[in-house]
Amino acid sequence: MEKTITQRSAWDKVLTKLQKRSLWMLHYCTGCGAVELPPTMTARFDMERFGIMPMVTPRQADILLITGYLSVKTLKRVVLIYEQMQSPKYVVGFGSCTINGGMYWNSYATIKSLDQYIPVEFYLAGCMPRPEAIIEGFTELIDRIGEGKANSWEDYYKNYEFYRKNQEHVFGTIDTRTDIPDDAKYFKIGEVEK
Amino acid sequence: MNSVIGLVVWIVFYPLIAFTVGVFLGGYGRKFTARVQRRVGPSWIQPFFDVIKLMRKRTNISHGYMHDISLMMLVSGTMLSLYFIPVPGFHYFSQFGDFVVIIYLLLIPSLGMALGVGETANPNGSIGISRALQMLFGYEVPFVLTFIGMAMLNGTTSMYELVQIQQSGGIATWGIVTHPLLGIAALFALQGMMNEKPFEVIIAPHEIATGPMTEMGGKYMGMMFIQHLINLFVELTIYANLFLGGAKNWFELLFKLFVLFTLILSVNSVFGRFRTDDAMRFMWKIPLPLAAIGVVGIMLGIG
Amino acid sequence: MIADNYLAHTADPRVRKPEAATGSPRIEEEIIKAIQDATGNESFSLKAPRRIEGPVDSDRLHTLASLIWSRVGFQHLSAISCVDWLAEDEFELVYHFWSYRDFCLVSAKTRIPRETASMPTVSDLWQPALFFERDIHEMFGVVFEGNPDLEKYILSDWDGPPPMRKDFITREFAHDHFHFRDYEPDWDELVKGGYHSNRGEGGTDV
Repeated sequence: MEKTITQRSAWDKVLTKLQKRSLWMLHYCTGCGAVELPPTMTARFDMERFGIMPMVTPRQADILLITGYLSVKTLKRVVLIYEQMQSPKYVVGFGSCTINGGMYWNSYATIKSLDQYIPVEFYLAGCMPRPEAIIEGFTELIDRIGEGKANSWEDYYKNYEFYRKNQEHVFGTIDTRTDIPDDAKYFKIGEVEK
Repeated sequence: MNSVIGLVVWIVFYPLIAFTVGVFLGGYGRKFTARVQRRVGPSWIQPFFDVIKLMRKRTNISHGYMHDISLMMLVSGTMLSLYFIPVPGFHYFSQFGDFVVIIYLLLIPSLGMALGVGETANPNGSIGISRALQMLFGYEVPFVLTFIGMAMLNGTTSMYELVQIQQSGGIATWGIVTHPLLGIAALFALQGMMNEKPFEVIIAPHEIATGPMTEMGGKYMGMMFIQHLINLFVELTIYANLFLGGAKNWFELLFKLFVLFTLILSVNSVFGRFRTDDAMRFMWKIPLPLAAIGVVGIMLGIG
Repeated sequence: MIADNYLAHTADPRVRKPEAATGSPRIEEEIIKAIQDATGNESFSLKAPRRIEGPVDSDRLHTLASLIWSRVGFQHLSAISCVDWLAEDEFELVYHFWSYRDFCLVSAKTRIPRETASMPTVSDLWQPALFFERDIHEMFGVVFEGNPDLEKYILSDWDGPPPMRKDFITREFAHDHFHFRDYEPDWDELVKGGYHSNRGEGGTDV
């Protein structure tokens, strides 16, 4: 659907350009990939020059970085964290474990494909990705936010049943204390804009 | 009639000016810390990007009415204290309100935050708030003592008159020169007031997950960010007015804020964080006796 | 001589040299004799310096454990390990007792049938056994009678068979239970148009 350039969307564009310069990242470090983050943050690669800052609480974070394998037990915590984050939010799968299980491909305890349980904005392939790859991925994300293409988080609101079913298949029902369909209705997410 | 229009213009634009200055100061702070750590650091107006980002969040989870109202208290308390501080070109309200009003108004944000965080029922937030109120006792007592000392020294409780006195007499009448003990005590207290390291016990990201802000997301966090940036301006300006002779024009004021903030940041970027009890002990062992000795000295006519 | 090598590396004079290392295996013989006298079990023998090993019937194990526990010095239950002998249809439980006084390890091996796998607990003698037994119950399905808490320990959301049993085929379970990503050679074309999910295209049985 082609949208014409109106006053509103031009204003929107400007704000998006400013908005993309600030991303706060919550890193969920159960896997070995966490090792690559300190060099990315500190003097050598300095992530903060892109406005990306580590943040410690899910309420304030924009990026959820899953560094490595997720067992079924930790997936439960990740879903809880993900639902606590405020939209727009971007999940980054870090390392091959989140893509296809990696070296744990035949383990009974780890999940194989993260995007079946929460929508993933992009993956960083590798075992494990170097800081250059992380910087490359994040600059790509920044560009996509500027273009308004980074909208994976809407998928969780639109196809909540699909994700919920997959989650319940691996760890049963949980009470996440977040009413996703109700939030979607209240904040008008996923409706077609006129 | 002209003055009324000028007043209205000031009332409308003064918070915006304070916010802009706060943005640049905050960005400068982050850049400074980055440079000390040999990094490139973020943009100079990074706090502005952060505020825009937070304000454009699509979902904002509220934890109840008190959570919403507390933000009103938070921002309005800071805004009100802003109006009562004389700056070049605007000292209308500071003719009516003196130190006591400013001390009173500066307490409102902390109390508002305590109410809101109580509603969110997050244990990290509760710990953060208890630390915030504890630290309040730490830095507020020496700071109030320096207020009292300066008032006794100059025979006035109005900040505007104090600025006038310091302006007319030149550098020799600046608070930091006439009474260095009080100036140093207030500098320590200011470090605690601005939550900079080593007194950063309230935020403590690695320990209690940013304390009071744990449950604040989206626009709530955006409001807190704006309040924080205005607060930077307020606290630094209070110190500049009390001890650095205020300012004749905005250029002078900004220069003084810049120098003062650099001093605070240099301490901030080379220190670790104190424990709460250590921070309290420090506050009551060094700035408090300094301020008390200063006040006693003024009472005996030494100062 | 493992023991000699070990002690050669630990030149710390504060470490008291066990007598076994000085050439006389007196303490080991004492322990073996004590086990023989008390339980009539003659199969315990010296495998290596300071290592005593032997099989024991599953119903006599607790008696043996009490004896070893009552010998001053064997305060440490080092581990309980479980081996699944699928062809013989048996579980082998190995109890490792370590003495800080005698510098001596006693390993008692006992076998129980796989179908009705149950053992009396030793947690009344050594408290840490609570966790070892809970873990073995979770991973192998062995029931420890008298252990008050055999709840799930690590696999809190697990409802399948005990996963460390040999007849549990991990790969099959993983393929049945989890969704695997399909091979997408043109993935870079797919992601260009915005968010792309591989939902519904894969061979999921979810």
